[in-house]
Amino acid sequence: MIGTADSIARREPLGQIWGRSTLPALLGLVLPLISLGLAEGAGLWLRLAPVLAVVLALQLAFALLRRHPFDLHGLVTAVIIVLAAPAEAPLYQLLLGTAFGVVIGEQVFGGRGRSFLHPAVVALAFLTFSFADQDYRTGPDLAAWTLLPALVLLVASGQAAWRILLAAACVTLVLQWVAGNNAPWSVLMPGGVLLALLYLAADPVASASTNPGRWAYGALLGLLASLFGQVGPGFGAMVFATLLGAIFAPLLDRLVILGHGFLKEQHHG
Amino acid sequence: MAGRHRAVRIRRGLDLDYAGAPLQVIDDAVGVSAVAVLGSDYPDLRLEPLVAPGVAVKAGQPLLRDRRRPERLVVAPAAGTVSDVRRGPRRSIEAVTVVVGDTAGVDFPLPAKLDRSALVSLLHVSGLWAGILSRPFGRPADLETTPAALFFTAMDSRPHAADAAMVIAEHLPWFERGAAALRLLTPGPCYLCHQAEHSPAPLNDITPVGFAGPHPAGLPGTHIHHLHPVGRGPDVVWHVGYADIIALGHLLTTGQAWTTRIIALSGPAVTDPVLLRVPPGARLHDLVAGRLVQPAARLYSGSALDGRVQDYLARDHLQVFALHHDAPAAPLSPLLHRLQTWMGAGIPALIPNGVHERAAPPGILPIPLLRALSTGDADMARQLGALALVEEDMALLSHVDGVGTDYGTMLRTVLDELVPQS
Repeated sequence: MIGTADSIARREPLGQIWGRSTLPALLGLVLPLISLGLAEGAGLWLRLAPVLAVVLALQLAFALLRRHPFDLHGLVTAVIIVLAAPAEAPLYQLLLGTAFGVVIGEQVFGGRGRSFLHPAVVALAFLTFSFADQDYRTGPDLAAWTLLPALVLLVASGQAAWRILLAAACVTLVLQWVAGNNAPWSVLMPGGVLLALLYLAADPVASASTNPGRWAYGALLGLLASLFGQVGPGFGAMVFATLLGAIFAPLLDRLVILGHGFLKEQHHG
Repeated sequence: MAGRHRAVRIRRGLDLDYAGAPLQVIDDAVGVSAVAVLGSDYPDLRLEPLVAPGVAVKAGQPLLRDRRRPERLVVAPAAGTVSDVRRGPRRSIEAVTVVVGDTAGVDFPLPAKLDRSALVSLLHVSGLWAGILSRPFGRPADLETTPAALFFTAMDSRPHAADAAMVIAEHLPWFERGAAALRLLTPGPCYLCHQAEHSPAPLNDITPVGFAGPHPAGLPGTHIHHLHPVGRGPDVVWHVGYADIIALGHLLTTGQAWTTRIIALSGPAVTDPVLLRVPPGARLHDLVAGRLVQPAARLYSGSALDGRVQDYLARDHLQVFALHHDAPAAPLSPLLHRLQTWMGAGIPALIPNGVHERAAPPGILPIPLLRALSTGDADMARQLGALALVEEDMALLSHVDGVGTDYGTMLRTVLDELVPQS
């Protein structure tokens, strides 16, 4: 394989150019940030700065200690945590949750790409369980259209698998329809739910990594999110569905591998 | 089976578009001063030299011999004088270099009646045994055994490859003669895998199969997957490239080694990318003389996907790819440099992306396989079908992964672990 030749092929698939880049994910977060910043004022930016600092400092410390490359995906984690947390949440809670999520959810496994959970999911779950006085489950009040750039960027760059998104959306809609909801799409429309679905549930690292596994994982997400959504807000339901789904994702992949091997054996026999 | 035409369409895959695509016209005006036989073309073999520097050799004269299988000879690709026998670590042979002189060739004694054993001994003495590769593992086949199927690869889908159909058409009598002879190697099925748009002339008892679609449509691994999959059962199949088939036909017709290969010279650093008629193992700098945009170029034997920087053309490569040699970047400050070395120690983590599925070899779950390869989990890799693959099948995945992880090398490490101990 030629390292330098990589840079000179004239038409590369988007997934190759942007597949590892933080840029599509960050660009997709610009509109939600601006929209929430206009609604909330300077408080949002004052929370973002220390959370960013904590994430980057922890990432740098682990990169130096464990001798692995430093990547900027921590920016995405920080922005999501700040977007998701309520405006009145005390800063110390945010920082504690962020540190817990980044260290326990990602860095102890060797950084992004080697962990099995999204650090923001771990952070939000930690905050929800630890600080019941604050409402960490409602999520940001965002219009659905602010997530449209994120949808396009993440799907086009191959970072969010469309199979996961489609399966999750379809299962949710069907379950809502079965439950007698006349407008089943209304549960998917809050911006917070879309944010969790695009960035946390469909995270390429923490989700299933085979195509049949992606369908199954998406369906599981839809099922769990609908179930949890019966007793709480949609954003929290999606975050906890992701937490459980990500734990099951390796099992789903394992089943796909077994099934794939079995089919191949049949084919050979 | 003979005569029934089959076609396979590859839907996944990727045709990468590099600058400097070659014109499919053969340019004969090439002066080659030296050729070499490279030890890296014969991995896992213990070679011993049969010549010393200064000796005059004819084309086809044995230069090296396999210590374990002395009937396997490696012959001189061109006539001239041996200038160097370069040794590598642990008494291995790195290269035998021949300065090209006259055009004399060894006259091989041809058998009156060609049967399997006569063919096998001819393949051994002429050095053509090295072009018959077996799957699993992709190493030279043990010609004393019989494969379950035989594949003739009459196409090449690598970026900037020479048009195999044109090369074969130019040497058609030799190609047909070589293919008919190789047919003796197995009573099992024999497939001629060609580009779907060029239907070759029918050959007796050989099934033509047309392959269409982007790379890796032309790789033997793809053909084997679709026609006679290996790796999960005991079956072993062999595959031969079209250049070696023509070389065998030439040998059977004239009694002399074929001292020509048609290769593609391409890449952004070449002024007029074109096909060249060159001796096997030709010195790359001779091939590009007077054809470079600027003197500083990096020459790869092989394609942009699986090429290697080296001085001479590898045995199995039918391409030379030339890149501009950029001036080295300005040195970092010592502190930054130390930081970069310190943090760049590990293998970059794999971030799954939809593009991995697109670039994966057929019938493979890419992310689980890449994870198994990067952790060196040989058992899991075997379950995922690694035995059906060789390095060239991983080239596209290594390319799209985009961080310089060479999954081909990792695959070979795993394959070496899986080789049955005899």
